[in-house]
Amino acid sequence: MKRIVIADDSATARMVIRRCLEIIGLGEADMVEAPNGREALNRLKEEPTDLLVTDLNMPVMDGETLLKWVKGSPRLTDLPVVIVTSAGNPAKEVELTTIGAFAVLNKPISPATLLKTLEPLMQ
Amino acid sequence: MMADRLNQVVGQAIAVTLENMAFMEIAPVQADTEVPTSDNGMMARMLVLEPFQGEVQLAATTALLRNVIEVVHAFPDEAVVEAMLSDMLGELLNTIGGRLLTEYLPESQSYRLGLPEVGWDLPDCSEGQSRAWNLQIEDQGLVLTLVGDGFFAG
Repeated sequence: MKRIVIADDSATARMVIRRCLEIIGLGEADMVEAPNGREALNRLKEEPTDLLVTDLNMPVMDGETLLKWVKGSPRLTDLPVVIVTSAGNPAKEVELTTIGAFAVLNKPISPATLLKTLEPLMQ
Repeated sequence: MMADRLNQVVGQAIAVTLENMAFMEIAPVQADTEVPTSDNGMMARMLVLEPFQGEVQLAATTALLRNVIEVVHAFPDEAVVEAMLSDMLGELLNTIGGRLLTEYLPESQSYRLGLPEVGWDLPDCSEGQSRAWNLQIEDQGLVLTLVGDGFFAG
């Protein structure tokens, strides 16, 4: 993976995600951070991106809206989107995967969970 | 029974969060643990919007927050500024609160949380029963408080 966009309103959460990505061997990717969905969308439009990791609960534009915009864009629709959230449950997971999320992970994430999730994309 | 389950869920939510984020272990509070106050610590609140109205509050000493930041961000202590302390406390609350509700509510029950707000003087929004859990991490205190009858129903 060459470029990964990480969207979360918390700098701490973005750092935790970044660290996990580094630990599982994606440290060489260009990791671009965004504090909300709208900023993330702008970053996604700048350059081709291989993965979007986003929180759900964010100001300005939340993660679910971001997911809908990505999946509704002919240019971005194939982008794998991993949702990392503190407000996940089976019902929400089904809803988000129906919209097109590649995976929904509950916070706090661990490198092992992230590796298992991203393995199919890393091969 | 319900109180036992809540105890277990609260303990687990805090333990898993601190362990995964900062490789830290929690322990029951000791007599010499430094308890967070407005002088030595910070407090964050987050509303539970659905399926009931409630609030999750988290208070921690700034010394503990600095330790966690040092691990997560690999920042030297002197580079830590107040905004980072607030962000760290907010993210800890967000993660612990979400994990707690995921484990505590029935599997099919969805829920909605507000955004964390940091400050000791925020107005009280929630009413009803409340309970606090006092814990320690590396000699520093952490207090989690749940407010709202929904947490204690059943």
